[in-house]
Formats: sequence, C-alpha cells, structure tokens
Amino acid sequence: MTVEGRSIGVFNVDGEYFAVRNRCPHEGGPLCAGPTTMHVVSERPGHYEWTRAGEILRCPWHGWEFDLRTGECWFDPTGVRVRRYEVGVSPGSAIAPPQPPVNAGDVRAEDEPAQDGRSYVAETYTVSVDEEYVVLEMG
Amino acid sequence: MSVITPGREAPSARRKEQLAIVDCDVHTFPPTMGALDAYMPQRWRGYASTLARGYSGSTLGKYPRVAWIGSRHDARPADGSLPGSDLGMIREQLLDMWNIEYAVMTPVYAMQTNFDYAAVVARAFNDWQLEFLDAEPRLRGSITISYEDGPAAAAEIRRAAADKRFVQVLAAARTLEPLGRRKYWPIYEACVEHGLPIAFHYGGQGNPTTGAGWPYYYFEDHGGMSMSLATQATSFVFEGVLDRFPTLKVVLVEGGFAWIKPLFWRMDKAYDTIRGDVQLQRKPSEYFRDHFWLTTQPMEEPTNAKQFPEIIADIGADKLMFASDYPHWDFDAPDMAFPARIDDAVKRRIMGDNARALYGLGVA
Amino acid sequence: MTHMLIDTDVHVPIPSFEALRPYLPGHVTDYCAFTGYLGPDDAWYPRGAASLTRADWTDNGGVEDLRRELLDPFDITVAILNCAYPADGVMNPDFSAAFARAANDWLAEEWLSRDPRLRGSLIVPNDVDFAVAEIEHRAGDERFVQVIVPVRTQMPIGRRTYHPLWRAAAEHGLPVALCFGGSAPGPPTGTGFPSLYLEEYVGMAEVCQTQLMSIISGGVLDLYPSTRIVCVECGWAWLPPVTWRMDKEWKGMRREIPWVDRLPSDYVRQHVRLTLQPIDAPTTDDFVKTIAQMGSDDMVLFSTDYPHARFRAGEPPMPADVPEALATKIRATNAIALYGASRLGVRELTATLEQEAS
Repeated sequence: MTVEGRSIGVFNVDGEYFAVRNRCPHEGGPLCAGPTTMHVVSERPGHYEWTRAGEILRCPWHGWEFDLRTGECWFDPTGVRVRRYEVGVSPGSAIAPPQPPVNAGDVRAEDEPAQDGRSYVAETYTVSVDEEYVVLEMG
Repeated sequence: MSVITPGREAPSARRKEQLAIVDCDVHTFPPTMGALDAYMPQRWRGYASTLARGYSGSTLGKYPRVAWIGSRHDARPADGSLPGSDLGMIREQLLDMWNIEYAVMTPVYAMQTNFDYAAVVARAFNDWQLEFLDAEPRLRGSITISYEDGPAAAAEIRRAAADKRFVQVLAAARTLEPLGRRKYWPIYEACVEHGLPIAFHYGGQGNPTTGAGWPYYYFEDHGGMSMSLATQATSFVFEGVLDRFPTLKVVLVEGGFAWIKPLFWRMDKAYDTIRGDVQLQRKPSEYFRDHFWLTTQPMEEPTNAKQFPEIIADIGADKLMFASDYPHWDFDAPDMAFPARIDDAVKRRIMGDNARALYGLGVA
Repeated sequence: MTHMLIDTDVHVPIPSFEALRPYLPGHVTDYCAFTGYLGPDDAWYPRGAASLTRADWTDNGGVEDLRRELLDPFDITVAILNCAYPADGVMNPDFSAAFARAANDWLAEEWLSRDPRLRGSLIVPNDVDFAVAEIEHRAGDERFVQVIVPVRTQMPIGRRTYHPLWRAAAEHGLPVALCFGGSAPGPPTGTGFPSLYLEEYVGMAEVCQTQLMSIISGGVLDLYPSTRIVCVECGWAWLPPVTWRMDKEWKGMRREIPWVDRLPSDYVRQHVRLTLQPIDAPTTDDFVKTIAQMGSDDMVLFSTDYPHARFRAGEPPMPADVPEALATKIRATNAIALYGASRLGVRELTATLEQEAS
C-alpha cells in the first residue's frame, strides 16, 4: 500500500501484524515483494534449524533477511534496519487522529547515497488490527 | 490518517539518474527455452529436452541459487515465462525506471558439447535477439557463438556482424580450455575483422570450477566466477593472443573488478622472474590499458567504503562499465549500487561514456 | 636492541630418491627397486628452470649452504623449512603415507637436528586418515610447527572429508599451511589446463582464494575455532577483493551456510595469515595500501622463499620504506603470535624484547 507517498507492506503472521517500508536499505529493492519465511540457525555444518515461521522477510533482490518484528537485518542488526510502522487494530470510532508528517530530513537522508560508507537505516511501522480497520501509525 | 491505496513504490520515487546510462549486461530471454526452436531447422527442434548434453552437466542443477532461474523475485512474469522475456517488464523495471539510453543483451549459452547443435543454438539466439532489437531501440545485442568450435564460431560472427546492433561477441567465462589457447583463435580473428570486442561472461561449463575440484556451495560457485575470469585473463596475456591480435578488445562481464589490479601485478612479477616460458612484446600490465574492460556488477563493497574511490582510480576510471545484470538476483540498481560517492566525472565515464566509446554507441 | 627475524618459508627440497631411501620402509624400497620408481616427480617447481632459483643461491644445498646464504647474512632468528615433497602425488595411499613419513623423517634428521634455528612443516599424505596418523605420530616433536598441505588438493579442503585433518591440527595446536603447488589430478585452474607454467603459477593465487572460500563455507572455523591457516607462497595482494566478495555473497546466501555466523572477512582476519613472498604489490605504496585494505597489520608473515628468486641480490626482501610499526610485526611479531614463542624457541628473546620496549 502507498501511504503519504511511501510504499509500505503490511504482513499478517498468525494473527500478528507487522508493517515495514517497501524499500530495502541495500539497493532500494521492493522489499515487501520478497518472500516471508522461517528463520534458520545452525550449530554446526550440516545442521539447519528452522524457527519462527513467516517472521523473516527476504529482499527479492539480494536475499537479505529482515526480522519483521524489529525491522533489523539479520547479519547486522544494529547497522542495517528497515523502517517499521506501528499497526494497531481499533474500532472505527477510536481511530487515531492524523499523525504529524515524518520529518522531511529523514526521507532525504535515506535517499541520498551515503558520503562515507552506507547507513542502512530504513523504516518500520507498527501495525495493529481491530475488526476491519488496520490502523497504521506513521509517526 | 492518510487514505490507503494499493500500490508500490512508484518509479518516479526512485531518484532518477540524470545521467543517460548504458547498461552493459542485461539478460533477455525467450519466454521458454523451447521457444528458441522456432529459429532452428526442424531436425533440431526438441533436441534440448531430449538428447542434448553438456560438459559435466550444468552448474545450474548442482547449486541451488538464491532465487528461481537466479532472478529477482519481482522480475518473474506473472504467466510463468522466463524472467527477461517480457519486454514490458524490462521497460518498466529497468529501461524506463532509470534513464537507460542503451542496454546490451548478453544471452550466454554454454552447452557446447555437440558442435552441430551448439552452432544451431547460437544462431537461433542471434536471430531471436533481432526481435527484441527491432521492438526496442534502446537494446543492443551480443553475438552468441559455439565457442568451443572455433571455425563455426567465426562463421557465425561473420554472419551476424552485418547487423551493427550487435556490439560484441559473447562467450562464457568457464570454458573447456583456457580462452587464450589456439583452438579459440579463429573467434578472435573474426572479432577483429569486424571490430567487435569479445566478452567473457559469467557462466560456462567443462571443468571443476576450482583448481582443487568441485565446491559444495553456490556461495563458492558464484563467488568463484571472478577467479575463473582471472585465469582467463591470465591465459589471454601469456598465450600471446594480444600480440597476435593487437586490436582485440576484451570485456570481462559479471565478475566485479577489484581483483584485476592485483592480478596484473602478479602477472608482471611472474613474467619478470620466470623466463623461458614465453616471449611477449610487452609486459603483462601494459596490455591491460589497451585491451581489457570490466563491467561493474556485482559491485565491489569494500569493508571500509572510503577505500572505494581509490580502488576505481587504481584500475582506471575508463576501464569500468556499469552493468545491472537485470533480471538476476544480484542485480545492481544504477542509483544505489555504488557503496560510496565518487567524482561526477568518474561516474559519467562508468555509467555510460566508456561503453559508448567501446561499443560505438550513438555514432552514426 | 634485540632484533628478531622469522623466515616462515624456506625451501629445502629432497635432492634425490637416494637421499630419501634410508628413511623409507623396506617394502617400499624393494618395490621401487624392482619397478625403477623414483618417487612422485610432480614438478611444482620445475627443475632446470634456472630463473626459479636465484643465481647466487644453491639449489639442493645442505645446512652449510643455508647458513652461509641465508641464516647468517640475513640474521634469521628462526627459519621454517618446507621440503615441498609431493607425497600427495602418489595415488597409492599407503605409499603416499610412506613417502610423507620418510620426507618428515628426512627433514628432522638432515635439517632440524643440525641447527637450533630451524623448524619444520609437516608433510601429510593425501589420504585423510593417514594424514591424521602422521600428525598424531609427530605431535610430540615441537620442531614441527605446522602441518603443510599443497593448496591444490583433490577436493576443496573445506569439505567434510578433510575435517578430521583440521581437527587433528587444531587439537595439537598446529596451524595448517596451504602452500604453492599440489599434485591433484585435474586442471590447476577452474578453466582448464593452461599451456604454460607461468599461467599455472599465477593461477595458484586463484586456487588459494577458492580454498579460503571452501574453508569458511565448509564451517571449518566454526567447528575448530582454534584453527589457524597460513597461505604459504601464494601471494597476498589478492586478498582484500576476495574478502569483500565473500562478505557480499554471505549477506544474501547466509541460509545456504547458516553455521557461518559472521562476516567471512572477520573469519579471515582472525584465522588466516599469509607469507610475505611473493610480494606482488609493485611499490611500497601499493604494499601499504593493500594491507590497509586487508584491515589488519597482523596477517603478513616475513619470508624470503629462499632459494627462489623473489628479490635480487643486494635488495632487501621487504621494501626498506615500509612503515616501521608494520615492518616489525611482519618481521617477527605476527609469526610469534601464530606459532608461539615456545615452539619457535624464542621465549627468551621475546621476553628480552618486551623488557626493552617497556
């Protein structure tokens, strides 16, 4: 979906909702077009352990793995993130008032190639759902 | 709150390159491999799915790739056709999304064991490319050849070269013998006759992919392609190909580029020390400037991004040509592929001027 | 001021089958006598290629030649010897094991016992179980400071077949050195058999690169975290682009090799060392820049690669204008950190240096 000019993907994972910016911080790929999948960890060569079904979003381009809960990229959780948005479920009468627009400076910083290495901070949004209203907090 | 509408990040939201870009590696394809049959004599139709063989089998089946057909998830046509077969998608996802002035198609064909069939397939690829070239004026082509069969490859080059929209000849990076060996020289002879560069592109089959046998993982197969291109460049230099064909130009495609400098250092040192093997007219690194170009994808990402501009400067800003490798998974987006800012003049050269000069693009 | 110089790559080839014969078991010498077999003859360094050995140095010399030509004039504190015997070139696994054992016995007797400055690299046969046996057999002899395997193995050395070898080396605190050469059947490059030795020589760097990829993706360094790898005589100027490429691959392909839990370049900086010669970087600027790109001053180990012609007579083995802090590390500190002061026999010297520094 497009909200305030930004493409955002909302994911329903076993009744929990998550929303992330549809833009991979690596090279700008359509992150939300990628598959959601399980997380894989390993203790030793040949050992593949699957957990957390559906909570990992892989970029459809280079395959980078993002944790839908936190927006963090698996291989570098502190340095590489996608922006999350808060999504809540509310009855129609309790929908949150409009939030102030995101600081234009943030958007610009993301769109510029970095001068000096890359800063891969992207946007996540918290999502929640009630009845038929998916409420996305842009603030 | 804002109105929610379905959609995705619109093309105009990408920072559209103001530079007119030349993309030197785009993988267009017929909708199915079988579709190529239409360009073949009756006797060969269907052969690909019956008795056609390759050397050691293709690595396609040996190493599961990051994605289906090695392509971006979002580049798959909805009807299940092969990625790169839908011209509409190519325009939307590549040519129009960025300011792509020219895109060079690179259909690599590697199942070369049956020389008769390989020649037929190469010709079919070249005839098929004409369709795309006719439909989209921004595209340019690469002459596909049955490269293990020198004379047949040369004949195909001579046949296809009449159409000036073919800007180079294309062979695979991993061949049965190193590409400097004499069996391949008829190819180079035909190339220089028609003023066409020879491009060695990611792919190929014939040998274990390392000098110590077959690796386990796609991680090694994919990453190891740069090493294959390196050994090919080495062969080219030391076999004296560039003395024999002083106007020949070589493009190394889809292996990145940072490795080329230490390679030529090593060749120089070796040539200086180990005498008696071959006599060249120049020292190895002197061939680099006049004869070699590299496409940028997969773009190097040094651990310390600040080192990136000096890596480019050390190789030479005029030696690199931008490539996206659309629609593959390791696609480089023109506006975000560079890990650090580089000088505008350098960027212009890499994003288009070098390719225009090499391929004679935009010249009447 | 105490000075230390540790030469981590010195060649002492076995001059002839006759020299090796006393160390071979009877059934092997008997078989060789009958068949006229003179041992594996794979020419990693082709004999008679005069340019390979420096003109003023003795090929196939003895301890006296080594002292006169290398140890004394260069003031070498410790030299690590590699006889580079192609025991892996014998396909019969029992014979391969016998030849490897004999080569190591020869090295111990003819060299290591004759000068306290000398240490050795342990040749292992091509069969992995026999390789482990040779490591176990020799583990108590601290004059052998590393296991040495030619970089061209029959299969990539990170594969599980080789894990017992990595485990044995790690258990005994021995680095595994991957050295120029190898007798594995098959082409020495991933693109077929080259026409010339020159190509094979240059291409050995690519073999080393793909071996590092195999070791990391194979999980060797996760299974045996004390593993140390030494790339001997393979060059090092090629290292930074390979580490960048591995990092880039891993970020998207992690799920294929999920036991690799951090950047491949981190593994490399932690576990891999490389001997100085050949210095492919043509100028000191290039030399220093490449090390900066490697991201660590701890990785390169001084070597002369005697008697190969890596630097001309009268020239220093390492450019004199390499910054002193880096040069000191290369000359000895890095090798001591890798092999251990005790095993190198430089405990006292190291202590003296530390005192002088403080």
